[in-house]
Amino acid sequence: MNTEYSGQKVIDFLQKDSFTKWASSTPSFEYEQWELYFRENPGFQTEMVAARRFILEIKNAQSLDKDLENQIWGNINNRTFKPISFFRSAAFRVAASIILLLSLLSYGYIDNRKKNEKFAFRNEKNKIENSTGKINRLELHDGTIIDLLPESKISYPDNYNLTERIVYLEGEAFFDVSKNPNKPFYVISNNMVTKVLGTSFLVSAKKGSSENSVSVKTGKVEVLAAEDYERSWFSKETKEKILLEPNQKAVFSISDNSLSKTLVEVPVQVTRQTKEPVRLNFDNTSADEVLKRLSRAFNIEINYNSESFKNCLLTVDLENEGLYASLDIICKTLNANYRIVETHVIIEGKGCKF
Amino acid sequence: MRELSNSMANDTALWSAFKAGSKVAFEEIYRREIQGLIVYGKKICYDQDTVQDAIQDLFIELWNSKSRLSETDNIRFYLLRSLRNKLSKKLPSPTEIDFIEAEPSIEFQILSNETEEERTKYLKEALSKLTKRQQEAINLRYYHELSNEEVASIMGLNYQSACKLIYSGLKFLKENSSLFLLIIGVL
Repeated sequence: MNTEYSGQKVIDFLQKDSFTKWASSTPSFEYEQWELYFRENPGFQTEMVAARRFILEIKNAQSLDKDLENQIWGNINNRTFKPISFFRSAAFRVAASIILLLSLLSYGYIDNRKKNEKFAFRNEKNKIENSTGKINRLELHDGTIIDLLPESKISYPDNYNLTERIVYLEGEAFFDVSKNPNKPFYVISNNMVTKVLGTSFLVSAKKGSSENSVSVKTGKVEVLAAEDYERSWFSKETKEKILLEPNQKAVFSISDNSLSKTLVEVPVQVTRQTKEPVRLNFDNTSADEVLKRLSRAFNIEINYNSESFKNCLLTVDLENEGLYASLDIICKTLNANYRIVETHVIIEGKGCKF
Repeated sequence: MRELSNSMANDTALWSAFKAGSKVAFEEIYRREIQGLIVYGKKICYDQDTVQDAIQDLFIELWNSKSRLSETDNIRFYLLRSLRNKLSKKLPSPTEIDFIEAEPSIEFQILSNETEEERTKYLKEALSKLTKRQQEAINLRYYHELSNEEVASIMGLNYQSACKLIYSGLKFLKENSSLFLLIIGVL
């Protein structure tokens, strides 16, 4: 190591703009250059380390004031966000900025000029409002079909289907999204974001309602709070999201901004439309097998003690019964009870013994 | 390099989100920058209440005028400059004592077994012997990590004057306090 230490050289380093960022480990365009310079100039390493240390000492000499930070934030909050009409207006603003953010991301928002000239987000949106008493069926140009329920409206930006597909919803609509893994489909509705690749589902986000929900019929759907979704654009914090499968439903509580998962009101047999539908016509079949098949047919987890139900035999036709009717019939026959916990069915009973 | 482009893009994206009306983005900006603003505010104004009021007003005005703001890729610079403008309006004559030169007569004892706490204390003392403008420039330059040009712009100086100011501050520390040597000497 160099024993002849030069104070002047330390000052020289300190005067260079990008040196500060290197010393503070802040990313900058010249960061790699300084790393290289450090490695290739052993004669100056002492001075570089000294200069770095000086900068870190300066930073160290400042104390943080968390109390003042929170106090000021409290005051700012009181004077900027009115508590009464907060949710409605915030919901609007959040949704608007998500649309903007999405378009920024896909057009490369690093280069501002490019964004403004060629790919500026246009505020004009296509808007469809259903003020009739009937369901209004729309087909978007990518083949996605939307059944818009009465007193509901959707809008979408002009660049829909360019790189991603964004629909803004107030009210209720059933979506049958045409498959396109390259262009994810988003429904933005009252503080909640639903993301899909190609599937069918119902979004319910009525104005003034305290809850939104998404019910999935086919495929898989991702749901998250708009706030978390938005945060993911500029923060590395992981977002809390819920992955929904068919017959599952996400319920979003607007007041506490939380998501929970449950079953849809009327689960349908998900294998009905497939090439290998699960048969639900049983003749002297063990209850264990009946429940297994029921579970597959509706894509719903059913928990029970398979040992005790193995010996029960059932003869029943459940082909055209709903999930709850089927469970009622089975439980009555077996003298058991069932309950729903989140997205599972739990069956409790003594079973049959020989 | 990936990390770099993320962080650069982050500032632009964060600012755009805020301009579009995102409260989440607004709070993120606040949380990222508030401690730096408090430090800077206190550096150029000794009255904490005045600093607090100025920061509060700054953010409230920022929120109220968000749609009219221009784009920026350096939020910190923007906020520091705004805070300085605010404080210089509130204070009668903030630059009056700025050009009084410090007396070059401070010597600190060099002890070989300094603790970090003691070093920090010495540094604070040494820095306090600089002129106010030197202190401000050095803080902006090293604590807030601004470039020479940004320091010049915030302090209303031309580029060369800002460089000179920083240089004279560093030189003073080097020549008049053994602290400078202490920091580096015990390597």
